[in-house]
Order: sequence, then C-alpha cells, then structure tokens
Amino acid sequence: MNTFDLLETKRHHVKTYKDQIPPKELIKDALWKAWKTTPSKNNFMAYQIDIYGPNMQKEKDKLWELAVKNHINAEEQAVEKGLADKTQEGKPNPFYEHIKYNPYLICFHGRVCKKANPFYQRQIDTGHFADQMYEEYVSHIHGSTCVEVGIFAANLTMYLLENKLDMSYNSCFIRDKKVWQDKGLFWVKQDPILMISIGYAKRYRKQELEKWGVLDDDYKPEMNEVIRWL
Amino acid sequence: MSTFDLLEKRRHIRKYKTDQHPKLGVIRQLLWKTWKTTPSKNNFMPYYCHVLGPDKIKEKELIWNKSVANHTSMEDKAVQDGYNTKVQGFTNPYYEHIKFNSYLLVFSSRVCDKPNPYYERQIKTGHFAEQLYPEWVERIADTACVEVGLFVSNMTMFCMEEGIDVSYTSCFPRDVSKWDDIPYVKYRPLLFMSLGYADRYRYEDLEENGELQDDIKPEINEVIKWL
Repeated sequence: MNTFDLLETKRHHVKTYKDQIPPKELIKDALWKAWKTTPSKNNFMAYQIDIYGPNMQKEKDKLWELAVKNHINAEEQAVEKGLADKTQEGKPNPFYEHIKYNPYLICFHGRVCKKANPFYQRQIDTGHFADQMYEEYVSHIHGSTCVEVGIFAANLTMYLLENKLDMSYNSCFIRDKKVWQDKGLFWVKQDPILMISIGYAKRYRKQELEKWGVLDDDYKPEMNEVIRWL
Repeated sequence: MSTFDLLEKRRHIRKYKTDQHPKLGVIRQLLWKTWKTTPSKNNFMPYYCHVLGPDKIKEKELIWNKSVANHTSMEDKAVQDGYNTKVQGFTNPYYEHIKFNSYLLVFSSRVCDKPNPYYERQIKTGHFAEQLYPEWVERIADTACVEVGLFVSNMTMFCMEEGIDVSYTSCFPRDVSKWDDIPYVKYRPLLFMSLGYADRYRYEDLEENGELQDDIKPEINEVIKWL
C-alpha cells in the first residue's frame, strides 16, 4: 500500500483500544526508526519522550485527569470572559478515553540539552548560541520544539501503521509542569507538548460519528482556506 | 522503497538548482495529498501555508532577511547576557535554501472563521473552540506548531517520493510586530519549508571539511525514556 493510502485509509482517531497488548518490539522498532529519520535543529532533539507501558494504569489515569481538567478550565474561562454562555458541565470528552485505556501512551516534553555534538561545540566556540542548552530558553524555543515533535509524531505514525498498529493524538492537557509533578509524575521536568496513545483499535471515533449520522459534518477546512498561493 | 529508506535519504539543502523546478501541477498535487492526510484538533487546521513560487524572488529575500536578522540578534543577546564572549558575525550559509529555491512554504497561525457543522453543534452545547479567537492565537501556538510539524513531515514524504528535496528553518522572530513588511503574515510565524531539486547538500560541505561524523544526533536513550 502506498504512503498516501496508508495514511488516508488506516489512520483514524481511536475511541477504544482492544485489551491485546502489542509486542514491545514493534513499538521499539517504530520509535527507533522515528528517532533515526526525524531531523532536528542543530541535531539537538530538544524534547523528551516518556513512555507509559501496559502496567502504568494509575499514571495514565492521572494523565487523563490532566486532559479533562484542561478541557473544563478552557470552557470555564470562556464563560468568564464572555466568549461563551455555558460549559459542557464537566462531562468528559469520550474521545479522550484513548489516553486512559491503551497499551502504550507516549508523552512529549521539552528537554534541556546537556551537551552539543562535536560539530556544534566547535560552532559554539566560535560564537554560535545554542539556546537548546539553557533552562531559561526552554519557553523561548518551545514553538520550534513543538514543530519537531510534530515531525517525529508524523514519522512515528507511518512506522506504527506499517507495523499494523493504531494510534491517536491529544494536545488538550494542563501545560504547567508543576501541576503534573504535584500529581506524582515527578519525572516530568518540562512542560508537556503532545500525547500519543498506541495499540490495536477496537472502535474508532469515526464509527461513533457514523452511528450518530454526523460523520459527514466533521470535515476539515477547504484546502484553499489553509494553503494560499501568493 | 520503504518509508524508512525514503526518509533516511532526506538531507538539508545547501543549494537548490535554479534552472530546474518541479512542475506546478506536481506541487499542487503534493499539497493536496498533505492537506488530505494531516489531522487537526477539532478539524480546524489553525494555520496558513503560504506558497511562494519560483517567481517570488523578492518575497523570498524578505523571508530570508528574517532568519538572518534573528540569528544575529540571538548571538548579540547571548553576548550581552553573558552566555558567550563573541558572535560568529557571518550569515549562516545553510539559510540560503530560504532565499533560492523553487518553492517556499511559509507557515503562520490562522484565526479560523468558522467550525464545521459537527463542532458548531458542540459549541452550542458548551464546547469552547479557541481556534476562533485572535486573543487565543498565542495560547494555542504550540498545538498549531505540532500540527505544522505533522503537515511538513507528510509533505516531506510525498515530495521525496517524487524526487523533490526539502529543507526547513525555524530561526526567525516569533514576534509578529517584526513582520510588518510581510503583509500575508498576520499572526505568529511558525516555520519555513523550501522545496526544489538539490544542487548541493549541507552534508557534502561537512564531508569536504572532514566534519560529517561529528554532526550526530543524541543517543536514542537520551531522548526516549521507558518509565
């Protein structure tokens, strides 16, 4: 199957994963390939990928809570600021279920890099500034780091799909690392960027929408709304 | 060729060929494939992909100026703040791909006009769609950046399948007030991506200087942690 067809026909947001746990080797293989083929500014890869395996249910519960809380906070703030007149009353988005129940969950965070490679160390010695090496610059380079995480995520997606695995993304969660640490996720050193769950899908979100007769309403913007030829 | 082998071949461009350009129809098709296969939170795609074709030479120079100025400014500030004792004082030659290429894609944040009908109904029941509000652009810039990363990676794969080379740059001022001379960038700039046929790759420069083996990425276990 070609890459377009693979992405178009096989990648769908997961509502519920099967209990079956994919072999760890398949995940490791996909991660290694993504690490190998994802470029990075100055070859720093200024992000960290934490992997929550099948035996980390308590931690995944906490990560799900961080997603739900963020969703609620955003709705409440919108009402406070007059941008909305009601909230969904704290009802958890059912399409966050993949964060809680999955064989594997990956969280991306920023990372302060301790050292440059020998090529860039020589550049630094002649005056290049490596912002990836300073804690105080983490927020300054956050946008750049997020783009690189997106590239990694896309590459990982291809390799997982080729290994006949499903995955889903989530970017709704509390951004403040201190809130994560306060929940006992003490290994988190920098603000989060993205979550990806991995497993074998039992049910996709699109199947729910199809059942409700609303799948045709959930479309992306027209291409010419996004892509502008000057 | 497998996806892995295809992406392993991708290299940063030192110089593109200036007398040979991918056909416009091919680029349009690759952009369509990318648009079609790139997911987005709530299906909003809150970013623009501005496409500057082979004839947009002055426009590309203005974009290149942004990278050069940002790089200089960062080095100067590092010296002022005591992180460094000197600046390199020369223009990074590996930004040249921004100025001279077949196509340049300039990504910037986009405030969305309207949700699709499915999310319109969600909003009526209390869902908040931050993608619709200018005051939320900065707060959701990180999500927009991740989605742009997904987009450019898919675009990269489709380009490489057609034998088209690509490069990226993320060195530019993020403050949109410094973009008054670029009228189509109204909100936060996110990334530049160039496309074309390579004349020379960056790695060839490093190889010539005997430095290629020094430009390595961090070990996998520095980046990926099994908890």
